[in-house]
Amino acid sequence: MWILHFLPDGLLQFIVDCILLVGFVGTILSFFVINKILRLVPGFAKYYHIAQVVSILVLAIGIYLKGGYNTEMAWRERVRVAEEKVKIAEQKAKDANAQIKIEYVDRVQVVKDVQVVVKDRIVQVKEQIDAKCELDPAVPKLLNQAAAGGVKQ
Amino acid sequence: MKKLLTLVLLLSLAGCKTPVPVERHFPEAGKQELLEACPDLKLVAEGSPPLSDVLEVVTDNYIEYRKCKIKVDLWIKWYTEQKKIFEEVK
Repeated sequence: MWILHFLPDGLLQFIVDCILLVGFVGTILSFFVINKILRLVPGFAKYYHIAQVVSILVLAIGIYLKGGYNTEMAWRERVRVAEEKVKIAEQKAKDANAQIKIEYVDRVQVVKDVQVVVKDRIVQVKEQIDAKCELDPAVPKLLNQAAAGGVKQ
Repeated sequence: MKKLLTLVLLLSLAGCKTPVPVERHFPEAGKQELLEACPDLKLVAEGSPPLSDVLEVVTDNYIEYRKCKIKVDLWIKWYTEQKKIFEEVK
């Protein structure tokens, strides 16, 4: 029923209602009124079937369009509601992301501050540390092995 | 004639079937840095490096771990919040 999108709602409803009404009235007439009249007129008696078929077709088309129209309207309403919800959700998602950005920057800054302090302290006590300890060559190997984990060097 | 009427009327009900898509966009990551993978840990120079060098590398690795932990924490938070927001729309 995508084609219904191209017509204004009011016009569409009017057309559909007209077709339905014509079909309904035509069916009633062709089955219960004209039918009996035509039968009485020799020469026209064979044509009442045509009137019945045409009126049934118009009624069917009318029902089809009415169903399509009502469904279309119901879907449009649901789509409108869903789109509003999606819009709100996308705004919420953006807000949550903005909060995460702030939190990331703040927390990384704290870590960087600590890094600066500790590295400064290492520089200050560098000579003192190195004077008191000589590392065995096994120490870097073990440390590197632990640091590398499963990564090939 | 009545069968024809029934058949045509039944077929006309097909007009009630209409697919309607509602477009949704996948939420962006909270911050571009979150999309960058955590780097490998630094390695200590082979041989007998001074302890201060080793300490520096170990410190850098701790710092790197802390940064990476922040990323993981925030990804968990991002996922939890986005999932909650996503499920609100039904």
